Amino acid sequence: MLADYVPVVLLLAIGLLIGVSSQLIGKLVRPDRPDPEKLSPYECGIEPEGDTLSPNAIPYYIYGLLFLLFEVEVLFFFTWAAVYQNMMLFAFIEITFFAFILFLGLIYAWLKGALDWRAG
Amino acid sequence: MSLLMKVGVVVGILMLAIAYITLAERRILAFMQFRMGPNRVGWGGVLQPLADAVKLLSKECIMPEQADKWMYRTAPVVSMAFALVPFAVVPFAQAFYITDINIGLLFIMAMGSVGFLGTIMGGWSSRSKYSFLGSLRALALMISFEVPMIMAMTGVIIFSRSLSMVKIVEAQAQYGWFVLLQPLAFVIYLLCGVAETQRIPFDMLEDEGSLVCGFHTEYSGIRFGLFFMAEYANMFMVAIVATVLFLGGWQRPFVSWPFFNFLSVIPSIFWFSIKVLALMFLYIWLRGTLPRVRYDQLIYLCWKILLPLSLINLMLTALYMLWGMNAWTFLALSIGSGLAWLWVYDKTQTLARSPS
Repeated sequence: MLADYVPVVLLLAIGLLIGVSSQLIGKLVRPDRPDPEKLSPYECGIEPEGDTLSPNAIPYYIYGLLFLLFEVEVLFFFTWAAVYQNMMLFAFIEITFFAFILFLGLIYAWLKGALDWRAG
Repeated sequence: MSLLMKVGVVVGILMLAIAYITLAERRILAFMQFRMGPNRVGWGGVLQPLADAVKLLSKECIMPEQADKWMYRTAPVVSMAFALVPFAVVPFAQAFYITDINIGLLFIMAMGSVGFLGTIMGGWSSRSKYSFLGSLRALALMISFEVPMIMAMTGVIIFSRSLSMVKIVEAQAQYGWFVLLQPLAFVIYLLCGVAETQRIPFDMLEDEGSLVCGFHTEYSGIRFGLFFMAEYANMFMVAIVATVLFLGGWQRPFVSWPFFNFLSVIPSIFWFSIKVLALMFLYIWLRGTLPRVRYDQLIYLCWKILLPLSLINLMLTALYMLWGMNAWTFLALSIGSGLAWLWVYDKTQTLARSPS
């Protein structure tokens, strides 16, 4: 069982190796001539203004909360689907309630206006 | 074949495929726009990817002064590594896969999400306003496409009874290609797939009209190259998952009809690659055709249209399994309910827009 994951780790190692080694090998051949103009953050040629990490409104904040919720529920769907054919009627009734409540939640959020875009 | 050899073959072919899909994309886009595209290096441009690689490797890598140095260096590596990992569980041909883990599909989705972190890290660590906005948009993209995408896959899992990619392909010998049973899910998956690969029409995180280059504005040289390669590897992954889930993987067409058995003389790797390449062409075609949408429009599309649709599709599939209704009735029901939801949604939009 666990042995199935060895190739996964191997591939991850290859991916990391490609990423790291290409940056290191590149260091041997590429020029490195920094100057203050180059090193300033790009802002279409004008002098960068203000702090780049200034506070920023995230208008999709509520979507983020809903996403967390749904992502967890979706995992439940995955496991349910895999065993559905073994426990037909019971699983169907159960998932009907589950999906109905889920859907109700979505409709509720929708009617409350949580799904509407608000400029922060 | 030993494990190392298999890994070597897969990684090698993947790198080659990435190199040449970039060339193919530039040529195809050029022909769509009545240009020639790159045709100078080699014969008709066949050595162009090599030239690009040499160029990217020998270009100066500029790192902004205020950047978070280690995070800035790590971001492309994370993108690249986690774009590569999911290929471990793909059945490329009959009895040719690196490994078959029993949660294959879940694993692919998980690695895709981790890969997205590379994008967000890159945008955040550059300390540039454009990159920062790009990474915010990347986050918005991620929280919108993922839920309907997974919901759409669930319908397939009901049929295949397993999350293993190999078992999903094998199940289609019994049921026929799942696209025939799950047309709604297929469309939802394709749309979400475009979002996952961050491509036009959903590439607002690298919107060159307003964000210069989005999250990789500050990346140059090989570091940009890594992001670029990761994007194309992701594209292949999305095409492969769509092929495996909905288009029968390495199975021949008309797989449940013995009449077409003669098609089996063609090796299964051919069917697999032709389907994947067809989907890749579709993505390139979309890029040549469609304009970019705003990111609130994408969020609306995913949460108000695709998510309810995928829930409907899931419930219909469960009903189909329970009752054993006629496949044609099921098909008509799922397409009909899809259209019905679109109609209802359109009505609510019109009501909201009309002056009161």
